[in-house]
Amino acid sequence: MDSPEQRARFEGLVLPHLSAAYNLARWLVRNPQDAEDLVQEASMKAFRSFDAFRGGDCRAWLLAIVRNSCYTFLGRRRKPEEKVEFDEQQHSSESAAATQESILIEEANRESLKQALEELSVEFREAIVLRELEGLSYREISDLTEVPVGTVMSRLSRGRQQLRDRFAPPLRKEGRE
Amino acid sequence: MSCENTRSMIHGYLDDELGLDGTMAFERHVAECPSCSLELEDYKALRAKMRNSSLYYQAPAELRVRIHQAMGEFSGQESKRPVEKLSKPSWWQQPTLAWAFAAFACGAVLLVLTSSIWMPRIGENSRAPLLAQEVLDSHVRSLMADHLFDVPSSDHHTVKPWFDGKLDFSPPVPNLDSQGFVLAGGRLDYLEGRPVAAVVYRRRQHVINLFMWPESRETSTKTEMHNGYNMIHWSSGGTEYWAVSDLNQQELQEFVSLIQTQTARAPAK
Repeated sequence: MDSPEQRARFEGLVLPHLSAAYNLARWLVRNPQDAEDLVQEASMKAFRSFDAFRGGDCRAWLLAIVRNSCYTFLGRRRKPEEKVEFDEQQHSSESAAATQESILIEEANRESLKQALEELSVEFREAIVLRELEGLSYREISDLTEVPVGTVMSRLSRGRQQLRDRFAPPLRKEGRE
Repeated sequence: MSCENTRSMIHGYLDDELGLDGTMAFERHVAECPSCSLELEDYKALRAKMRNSSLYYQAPAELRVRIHQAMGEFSGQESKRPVEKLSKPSWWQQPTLAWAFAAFACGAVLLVLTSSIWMPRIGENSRAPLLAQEVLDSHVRSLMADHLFDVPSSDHHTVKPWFDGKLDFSPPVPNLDSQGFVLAGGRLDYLEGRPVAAVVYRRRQHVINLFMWPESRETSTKTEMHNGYNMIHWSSGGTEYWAVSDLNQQELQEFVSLIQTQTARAPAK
Protein backbone atom coordinates (compact mmCIF):
# COMPACT_ATOMS: atom_id res chain seq x y z
CA MET A 1 0.00 0.00 0.00
CA ASP A 2 2.93 2.31 0.37
CA SER A 3 3.76 2.77 -3.29
CA PRO A 4 3.45 6.40 -4.40
CA GLU A 5 0.98 5.34 -7.12
CA GLN A 6 -1.34 3.78 -4.55
CA ARG A 7 -1.02 6.82 -2.37
CA ALA A 8 -1.78 9.12 -5.27
CA ARG A 9 -4.77 6.97 -6.15
CA PHE A 10 -6.02 7.15 -2.59
CA GLU A 11 -5.56 10.90 -2.51
CA GLY A 12 -7.31 11.31 -5.83
CA LEU A 13 -10.25 9.02 -5.11
CA VAL A 14 -10.86 9.19 -1.38
CA LEU A 15 -9.53 12.46 0.03
CA PRO A 16 -11.86 14.64 -2.09
CA HIS A 17 -14.57 13.30 0.24
CA LEU A 18 -12.83 14.50 3.37
CA SER A 19 -15.35 17.27 3.96
CA ALA A 20 -18.22 14.82 3.62
CA ALA A 21 -16.48 12.65 6.20
CA TYR A 22 -15.84 15.56 8.53
CA ASN A 23 -19.36 16.94 8.20
CA LEU A 24 -20.89 13.57 9.11
CA ALA A 25 -18.51 13.06 12.05
CA ARG A 26 -19.03 16.62 13.26
CA TRP A 27 -22.80 16.15 13.34
CA LEU A 28 -22.64 12.69 14.89
CA VAL A 29 -20.27 13.51 17.75
CA ARG A 30 -21.18 17.25 17.99
CA ASN A 31 -17.67 18.36 18.83
CA PRO A 32 -14.98 19.66 16.44
CA GLN A 33 -11.95 18.16 18.17
CA ASP A 34 -13.39 14.66 18.46
CA ALA A 35 -14.65 14.90 14.87
CA GLU A 36 -11.16 15.76 13.61
CA ASP A 37 -9.55 12.93 15.54
CA LEU A 38 -12.15 10.43 14.38
CA VAL A 39 -11.87 11.47 10.73
CA GLN A 40 -8.11 11.21 10.90
CA GLU A 41 -8.36 7.78 12.49
CA ALA A 42 -10.92 6.66 9.91
CA SER A 43 -8.90 8.06 7.00
CA MET A 44 -5.84 6.13 8.11
CA LYS A 45 -7.96 3.02 8.49
CA ALA A 46 -9.21 3.58 4.95
CA PHE A 47 -5.67 4.21 3.71
CA ARG A 48 -4.37 1.02 5.28
CA SER A 49 -7.20 -1.07 3.89
CA PHE A 50 -7.30 0.66 0.50
CA ASP A 51 -5.93 -2.56 -1.07
CA ALA A 52 -9.15 -4.25 -0.03
CA PHE A 53 -11.31 -1.56 -1.66
CA ARG A 54 -12.85 -3.15 -4.75
CA GLY A 55 -13.82 0.09 -6.42
CA GLY A 56 -17.24 1.70 -6.42
CA ASP A 57 -18.56 4.63 -4.49
CA CYS A 58 -15.57 6.06 -2.64
CA ARG A 59 -17.64 8.55 -0.70
CA ALA A 60 -19.94 5.83 0.63
CA TRP A 61 -16.93 3.68 1.48
CA LEU A 62 -15.22 6.46 3.43
CA LEU A 63 -18.47 7.52 5.12
CA ALA A 64 -19.09 3.94 6.26
CA ILE A 65 -15.68 3.80 7.91
CA VAL A 66 -16.11 7.22 9.51
CA ARG A 67 -19.53 6.25 10.73
CA ASN A 68 -18.23 3.07 12.35
CA SER A 69 -15.52 5.05 14.12
CA CYS A 70 -18.05 7.59 15.35
CA TYR A 71 -20.48 5.02 16.69
CA THR A 72 -17.67 3.13 18.39
CA PHE A 73 -16.61 6.42 19.96
CA LEU A 74 -20.16 7.32 20.98
CA GLY A 75 -20.68 3.83 22.39
CA ARG A 76 -17.59 4.20 24.55
CA ARG A 77 -18.70 7.55 25.83
CA ARG A 78 -22.43 7.21 25.84
CA LYS A 79 -24.13 7.76 29.16
CA PRO A 80 -27.09 5.55 30.07
CA GLU A 81 -29.71 8.25 29.61
CA GLU A 82 -28.55 8.99 26.07
CA LYS A 83 -29.16 5.38 25.19
CA VAL A 84 -32.85 5.64 25.99
CA GLU A 85 -35.05 5.43 22.93
CA PHE A 86 -36.43 8.73 21.80
CA ASP A 87 -39.55 9.53 23.79
CA GLU A 88 -41.97 11.33 21.55
CA GLN A 89 -44.44 12.15 24.31
CA GLN A 90 -41.87 13.71 26.53
CA HIS A 91 -40.38 15.60 23.65
CA SER A 92 -43.62 16.96 22.32
CA SER A 93 -44.64 18.28 25.72
CA GLU A 94 -41.26 20.00 26.01
CA SER A 95 -41.54 21.58 22.63
CA ALA A 96 -45.15 22.58 23.31
CA ALA A 97 -43.99 24.42 26.42
CA ALA A 98 -41.23 26.07 24.46
CA THR A 99 -43.52 27.05 21.62
CA GLN A 100 -45.49 29.31 23.97
CA GLU A 101 -42.58 31.64 24.07
CA SER A 102 -42.60 34.27 21.44
CA ILE A 103 -38.85 34.42 21.88
CA LEU A 104 -38.81 31.36 19.68
CA ILE A 105 -39.55 33.54 16.70
CA GLU A 106 -36.39 35.50 17.21
CA GLU A 107 -34.45 32.34 17.83
CA ALA A 108 -35.26 30.97 14.44
CA ASN A 109 -31.84 31.72 13.13
CA ARG A 110 -28.91 29.61 12.17
CA GLU A 111 -27.73 28.94 15.70
CA SER A 112 -31.04 27.71 16.95
CA LEU A 113 -31.53 25.54 13.89
CA LYS A 114 -28.10 24.07 14.49
CA GLN A 115 -28.96 23.50 18.09
CA ALA A 116 -32.30 21.94 17.22
CA LEU A 117 -30.63 19.57 14.82
CA GLU A 118 -28.00 18.70 17.40
CA GLU A 119 -30.71 17.90 19.90
CA LEU A 120 -32.41 15.34 17.68
CA SER A 121 -31.67 11.72 18.49
CA VAL A 122 -28.59 10.51 16.68
CA GLU A 123 -30.53 8.31 14.21
CA PHE A 124 -32.82 11.16 13.12
CA ARG A 125 -29.93 13.62 13.00
CA GLU A 126 -27.87 11.26 10.89
CA ALA A 127 -30.67 10.68 8.39
CA ILE A 128 -31.27 14.41 8.01
CA VAL A 129 -27.58 15.26 7.65
CA LEU A 130 -27.07 12.58 5.01
CA ARG A 131 -30.19 13.62 3.10
CA GLU A 132 -30.22 17.41 3.42
CA LEU A 133 -26.51 18.21 3.65
CA GLU A 134 -24.89 15.34 1.81
CA GLY A 135 -27.69 14.84 -0.72
CA LEU A 136 -27.78 11.04 -0.49
CA SER A 137 -30.81 9.14 -1.78
CA TYR A 138 -32.95 6.95 0.48
CA ARG A 139 -31.28 3.90 -1.05
CA GLU A 140 -27.80 5.25 -0.31
CA ILE A 141 -28.73 6.17 3.26
CA SER A 142 -30.25 2.73 3.71
CA ASP A 143 -27.06 1.02 2.50
CA LEU A 144 -24.84 3.21 4.65
CA THR A 145 -26.83 3.00 7.85
CA GLU A 146 -27.81 -0.64 7.30
CA VAL A 147 -31.53 -0.18 7.86
CA PRO A 148 -34.41 -0.68 5.39
CA VAL A 149 -35.49 2.20 3.14
CA GLY A 150 -38.77 2.37 5.07
CA THR A 151 -36.87 3.09 8.27
CA VAL A 152 -34.86 5.80 6.53
CA MET A 153 -38.11 7.38 5.41
CA SER A 154 -39.65 7.28 8.87
CA ARG A 155 -36.51 8.67 10.52
CA LEU A 156 -36.47 11.56 8.08
CA SER A 157 -40.15 12.16 8.55
CA ARG A 158 -40.01 12.12 12.35
CA GLY A 159 -36.82 14.13 12.52
CA ARG A 160 -38.17 16.81 10.23
CA GLN A 161 -41.46 16.87 12.08
CA GLN A 162 -39.65 17.68 15.30
CA LEU A 163 -37.72 20.46 13.63
CA ARG A 164 -40.83 21.75 11.93
CA ASP A 165 -42.79 21.79 15.19
CA ARG A 166 -40.07 23.77 16.81
CA PHE A 167 -39.85 26.31 14.03
CA ALA A 168 -43.39 26.25 12.71
CA PRO A 169 -44.49 29.78 13.66
CA PRO A 170 -41.63 31.73 12.07
CA LEU A 171 -41.37 29.37 9.11
CA ARG A 172 -45.01 29.67 8.29
CA LYS A 173 -44.73 33.41 8.45
CA GLU A 174 -41.74 33.43 6.12
CA GLY A 175 -43.36 30.94 3.81
CA ARG A 176 -46.39 33.17 3.31
CA GLU A 177 -44.54 36.35 2.54
CA MET B 1 -55.78 10.09 -2.30
CA SER B 2 -56.59 10.72 1.34
CA CYS B 3 -55.01 13.43 3.48
CA GLU B 4 -53.45 10.75 5.66
CA ASN B 5 -51.78 9.15 2.64
CA THR B 6 -50.65 12.50 1.37
CA ARG B 7 -49.06 13.43 4.69
CA SER B 8 -47.11 10.20 4.73
CA MET B 9 -45.80 10.96 1.25
CA ILE B 10 -44.67 14.53 1.85
CA HIS B 11 -41.08 13.54 2.58
CA GLY B 12 -40.87 11.17 -0.33
CA TYR B 13 -42.17 14.00 -2.50
CA LEU B 14 -39.67 16.54 -1.17
CA ASP B 15 -36.85 14.05 -1.62
CA ASP B 16 -37.90 13.16 -5.14
CA GLU B 17 -38.42 9.53 -4.21
CA LEU B 18 -42.06 9.01 -5.24
CA GLY B 19 -41.64 8.17 -8.88
CA LEU B 20 -43.74 9.72 -11.64
CA ASP B 21 -47.13 8.23 -10.71
CA GLY B 22 -46.72 8.96 -7.01
CA THR B 23 -45.58 12.50 -7.68
CA MET B 24 -48.57 13.22 -9.92
CA ALA B 25 -51.08 11.73 -7.45
CA PHE B 26 -49.49 13.72 -4.64
CA GLU B 27 -49.57 16.99 -6.59
CA ARG B 28 -53.21 16.46 -7.61
CA HIS B 29 -54.24 16.11 -3.98
CA VAL B 30 -52.19 19.05 -2.73
CA ALA B 31 -53.61 21.31 -5.42
CA GLU B 32 -57.11 20.72 -4.02
CA CYS B 33 -56.37 20.46 -0.30
CA PRO B 34 -55.40 23.68 1.52
CA SER B 35 -54.40 21.93 4.73
CA CYS B 36 -52.05 19.45 3.03
CA SER B 37 -50.74 22.30 0.94
CA LEU B 38 -49.95 24.29 4.07
CA GLU B 39 -48.21 21.28 5.57
CA LEU B 40 -46.08 20.95 2.45
CA GLU B 41 -45.22 24.66 2.58
CA ASP B 42 -43.97 24.21 6.15
CA TYR B 43 -41.56 21.51 5.12
CA LYS B 44 -40.45 23.43 2.07
CA ALA B 45 -39.72 26.41 4.32
CA LEU B 46 -37.82 24.18 6.72
CA ARG B 47 -35.71 22.87 3.87
CA ALA B 48 -35.04 26.38 2.55
CA LYS B 49 -34.04 27.41 6.04
CA MET B 50 -31.64 24.49 6.36
CA ARG B 51 -30.08 25.25 3.00
CA ASN B 52 -29.59 28.91 3.89
CA SER B 53 -28.09 28.22 7.26
CA SER B 54 -24.59 27.01 6.34
CA LEU B 55 -24.98 23.86 8.35
CA TYR B 56 -22.29 22.03 6.38
CA TYR B 57 -18.97 21.68 8.17
CA GLN B 58 -16.01 21.76 5.77
CA ALA B 59 -12.96 19.78 6.77
CA PRO B 60 -10.42 22.15 8.35
CA ALA B 61 -7.11 22.65 6.52
CA GLU B 62 -5.14 21.39 9.54
CA LEU B 63 -6.96 18.09 9.32
CA ARG B 64 -5.79 17.63 5.73
CA VAL B 65 -2.26 18.42 6.79
CA ARG B 66 -2.48 15.95 9.68
CA ILE B 67 -3.72 13.20 7.40
CA HIS B 68 -0.99 13.86 4.83
CA GLN B 69 1.55 13.71 7.60
CA ALA B 70 0.13 10.49 9.03
CA MET B 71 0.10 8.90 5.57
CA GLY B 72 3.73 9.87 5.07
CA GLU B 73 4.67 8.30 8.38
CA PHE B 74 2.76 5.17 7.55
CA SER B 75 4.33 4.92 4.08
CA GLY B 76 7.74 5.38 5.64
CA GLN B 77 7.39 2.42 7.96
CA GLU B 78 9.61 -0.56 7.14
CA SER B 79 7.31 -3.34 8.24
CA LYS B 80 3.80 -3.13 6.95
CA ARG B 81 1.01 -3.75 9.37
CA PRO B 82 -1.50 -6.36 8.24
CA VAL B 83 -4.42 -4.83 6.40
CA GLU B 84 -7.00 -3.99 8.98
CA LYS B 85 -10.31 -5.73 8.58
CA LEU B 86 -13.22 -3.37 8.66
CA SER B 87 -15.88 -4.38 11.07
CA LYS B 88 -18.86 -4.14 8.76
CA PRO B 89 -17.88 -4.70 5.15
CA SER B 90 -21.05 -6.51 4.11
CA TRP B 91 -22.95 -3.82 2.26
CA TRP B 92 -20.38 -2.96 -0.36
CA GLN B 93 -19.03 -6.46 -0.74
CA GLN B 94 -22.44 -7.87 -1.64
CA PRO B 95 -24.00 -5.17 -3.74
CA THR B 96 -27.17 -5.66 -5.68
CA LEU B 97 -26.87 -5.70 -9.43
CA ALA B 98 -28.16 -2.15 -9.76
CA TRP B 99 -25.89 -0.89 -7.04
CA ALA B 100 -22.92 -2.67 -8.59
CA PHE B 101 -23.68 -1.04 -11.91
CA ALA B 102 -24.02 2.41 -10.35
CA ALA B 103 -20.82 1.86 -8.40
CA PHE B 104 -18.99 0.68 -11.49
CA ALA B 105 -20.18 3.67 -13.49
CA CYS B 106 -19.11 6.01 -10.71
CA GLY B 107 -15.75 4.32 -10.44
CA ALA B 108 -15.23 4.52 -14.17
CA VAL B 109 -16.00 8.23 -14.18
CA LEU B 110 -13.62 8.80 -11.28
CA LEU B 111 -10.95 6.75 -12.99
CA VAL B 112 -11.27 8.78 -16.16
CA LEU B 113 -11.22 12.01 -14.16
CA THR B 114 -8.23 11.07 -12.10
CA SER B 115 -6.30 9.70 -15.03
CA SER B 116 -6.87 12.94 -16.86
CA ILE B 117 -5.48 14.78 -13.84
CA TRP B 118 -2.56 12.48 -13.29
CA MET B 119 -1.63 11.50 -16.81
CA PRO B 120 -2.10 14.60 -18.89
CA ARG B 121 0.48 13.49 -21.46
CA ILE B 122 1.14 9.80 -21.26
CA GLY B 123 4.49 8.96 -22.78
CA GLU B 124 5.75 12.47 -23.00
CA ASN B 125 6.20 12.77 -19.29
CA SER B 126 5.65 9.50 -17.48
CA ARG B 127 7.29 10.77 -14.28
CA ALA B 128 4.70 13.53 -13.93
CA PRO B 129 2.33 11.78 -11.46
CA LEU B 130 5.14 10.86 -9.09
CA LEU B 131 6.72 14.24 -9.36
CA ALA B 132 3.44 16.06 -8.80
CA GLN B 133 2.95 13.99 -5.68
CA GLU B 134 6.43 14.81 -4.44
CA VAL B 135 5.97 18.51 -5.11
CA LEU B 136 2.61 18.51 -3.35
CA ASP B 137 4.06 16.66 -0.35
CA SER B 138 6.81 19.24 -0.10
CA HIS B 139 4.30 22.05 -0.26
CA VAL B 140 2.13 20.52 2.47
CA ARG B 141 5.15 19.76 4.65
CA SER B 142 6.33 23.34 4.28
CA LEU B 143 3.02 24.60 5.70
CA MET B 144 3.57 22.76 8.94
CA ALA B 145 5.27 24.66 11.70
CA ASP B 146 8.88 25.71 11.16
CA HIS B 147 9.26 24.15 7.75
CA LEU B 148 8.43 27.10 5.56
CA PHE B 149 11.77 28.93 5.40
CA ASP B 150 15.44 28.43 5.88
CA VAL B 151 15.88 32.11 5.12
CA PRO B 152 12.88 34.28 6.02
CA SER B 153 13.17 37.54 4.18
CA SER B 154 11.11 39.78 1.98
CA ASP B 155 14.25 41.10 0.28
CA HIS B 156 15.23 39.26 -2.87
CA HIS B 157 18.79 40.56 -2.46
CA THR B 158 18.94 38.47 0.71
CA VAL B 159 17.13 35.39 -0.52
CA LYS B 160 18.89 34.97 -3.85
CA PRO B 161 22.51 35.01 -2.51
CA TRP B 162 21.48 32.67 0.30
CA PHE B 163 21.15 29.84 -2.21
CA ASP B 164 24.72 30.36 -3.49
CA GLY B 165 26.95 27.49 -2.51
CA LYS B 166 23.98 25.40 -1.39
CA LEU B 167 22.86 24.51 -4.90
CA ASP B 168 24.66 23.82 -8.15
CA PHE B 169 22.54 26.47 -9.85
CA SER B 170 21.35 29.95 -9.06
CA PRO B 171 17.57 30.21 -8.87
CA PRO B 172 15.86 33.41 -10.00
CA VAL B 173 14.06 35.26 -7.19
CA PRO B 174 11.87 37.86 -8.89
CA ASN B 175 10.51 40.78 -6.90
CA LEU B 176 6.72 40.86 -7.31
CA ASP B 177 5.83 43.09 -4.37
CA SER B 178 4.14 45.70 -6.51
CA GLN B 179 1.93 43.04 -8.09
CA GLY B 180 0.70 41.85 -4.70
CA PHE B 181 2.83 38.71 -4.39
CA VAL B 182 5.04 39.33 -1.40
CA LEU B 183 8.32 37.49 -1.08
CA ALA B 184 8.40 35.65 2.25
CA GLY B 185 11.62 33.64 2.13
CA GLY B 186 13.51 30.71 0.69
CA ARG B 187 14.24 27.14 1.57
CA LEU B 188 16.25 24.19 0.37
CA ASP B 189 14.06 21.25 -0.50
CA TYR B 190 14.61 17.82 -1.93
CA LEU B 191 12.77 16.46 -4.97
CA GLU B 192 13.49 13.61 -7.36
CA GLY B 193 16.60 12.77 -5.40
CA ARG B 194 18.21 16.19 -5.73
CA PRO B 195 18.26 19.43 -3.79
CA VAL B 196 16.01 22.12 -5.22
CA ALA B 197 15.25 25.74 -4.46
CA ALA B 198 11.89 26.64 -2.94
CA VAL B 199 11.02 30.32 -2.92
CA VAL B 200 7.99 31.28 -0.88
CA TYR B 201 5.57 34.06 -1.76
CA ARG B 202 2.42 35.16 -0.03
CA ARG B 203 -0.83 36.44 -1.47
CA ARG B 204 -3.16 37.52 1.35
CA GLN B 205 -3.30 34.45 3.64
CA HIS B 206 -2.19 32.07 0.91
CA VAL B 207 1.27 30.60 0.64
CA ILE B 208 2.80 29.94 -2.77
CA ASN B 209 5.78 27.62 -3.03
CA LEU B 210 7.81 28.07 -6.21
CA PHE B 211 10.11 25.06 -6.68
CA MET B 212 13.01 25.36 -9.13
CA TRP B 213 15.76 23.10 -10.39
CA PRO B 214 17.82 22.74 -13.58
CA GLU B 215 16.10 20.99 -16.48
CA SER B 216 17.41 21.10 -20.00
CA ARG B 217 14.16 20.12 -21.73
CA GLU B 218 11.65 22.85 -22.48
CA THR B 219 8.03 22.01 -21.62
CA SER B 220 4.93 24.07 -21.99
CA THR B 221 2.89 25.34 -19.05
CA LYS B 222 0.57 22.78 -17.50
CA THR B 223 -2.04 23.25 -14.82
CA GLU B 224 -3.14 20.57 -12.41
CA MET B 225 -5.53 20.59 -9.53
CA HIS B 226 -4.87 18.08 -6.84
CA ASN B 227 -6.52 17.64 -3.49
CA GLY B 228 -7.58 21.26 -3.28
CA TYR B 229 -4.21 22.62 -4.37
CA ASN B 230 -3.46 24.23 -7.69
CA MET B 231 -0.18 23.35 -9.35
CA ILE B 232 1.29 25.02 -12.42
CA HIS B 233 4.55 23.79 -13.91
CA TRP B 234 6.73 24.47 -16.92
CA SER B 235 10.36 24.52 -17.89
CA SER B 236 12.23 27.13 -19.83
CA GLY B 237 15.70 28.68 -19.94
CA GLY B 238 17.24 25.56 -18.38
CA THR B 239 15.03 25.59 -15.29
CA GLU B 240 11.96 23.61 -14.29
CA TYR B 241 9.40 25.52 -12.26
CA TRP B 242 6.53 24.23 -10.11
CA ALA B 243 4.20 26.72 -8.46
CA VAL B 244 1.91 25.20 -5.80
CA SER B 245 -0.71 26.90 -3.68
CA ASP B 246 -4.20 26.76 -2.31
CA LEU B 247 -4.69 30.12 -4.03
CA ASN B 248 -7.35 30.07 -6.73
CA GLN B 249 -6.24 29.01 -10.16
CA GLN B 250 -6.73 32.40 -11.77
CA GLU B 251 -4.46 34.24 -9.35
CA LEU B 252 -1.88 31.48 -9.39
CA GLN B 253 -1.90 31.74 -13.18
CA GLU B 254 -1.33 35.47 -12.82
CA PHE B 255 1.62 34.76 -10.51
CA VAL B 256 3.06 32.30 -13.03
CA SER B 257 2.73 34.78 -15.88
CA LEU B 258 4.65 37.35 -13.85
CA ILE B 259 7.40 34.85 -13.03
CA GLN B 260 7.59 33.83 -16.68
CA THR B 261 7.91 37.43 -17.85
CA GLN B 262 10.60 38.23 -15.29
CA THR B 263 12.64 35.09 -15.82
CA ALA B 264 12.49 35.49 -19.59
CA ARG B 265 13.99 38.94 -19.12
CA ALA B 266 16.74 37.70 -16.82
CA PRO B 267 17.31 34.00 -17.46
CA ALA B 268 18.76 31.85 -14.70
CA LYS B 269 22.45 31.20 -14.84
